[in-house]
Amino acid sequence: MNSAVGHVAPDFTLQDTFGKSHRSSDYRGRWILLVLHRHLS
Amino acid sequence: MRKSIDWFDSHDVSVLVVTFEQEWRAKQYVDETGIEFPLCINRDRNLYQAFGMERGTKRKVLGIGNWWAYIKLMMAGQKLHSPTDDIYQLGGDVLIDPHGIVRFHFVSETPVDRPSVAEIQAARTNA
Repeated sequence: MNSAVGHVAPDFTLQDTFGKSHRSSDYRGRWILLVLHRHLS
Repeated sequence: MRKSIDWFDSHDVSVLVVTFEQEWRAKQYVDETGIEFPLCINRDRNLYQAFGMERGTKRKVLGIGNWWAYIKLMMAGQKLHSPTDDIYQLGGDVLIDPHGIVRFHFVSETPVDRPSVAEIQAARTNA
């Protein structure tokens, strides 16, 4: 992928370390920054 | 990034940190670092793949620049662990606007290749 800028972001549903679900739809109307880590060492 | 938490808040930016590592390691990371953003788990890496974040080459991941970055972290007092998962998986940063459109997209070429917070802030501000 060259760049996703200008494209619709994929929907996602992720669970955090406290068991809370985070859906992309929960963040509609707000900016969201996804910081995708490599390994956590 | 953590130093900019107030800036992100005041600009209506929610920050989600994503890892592909196992839950126990993610919880350990949260406990050790005190990270204030949610750390979400994406074990199957579909989000990484959706944004073009692939596995790096041996040369890119094990190159001298990365070793130097780790040495600097250790000298700064950061506790490092032996890797517990795929060391070749690369990451990146994606800023999505309130309509679900990607406004900033950075795919790391190497483990130490990350955008500056200023670049991300500029993408938010200039949108």
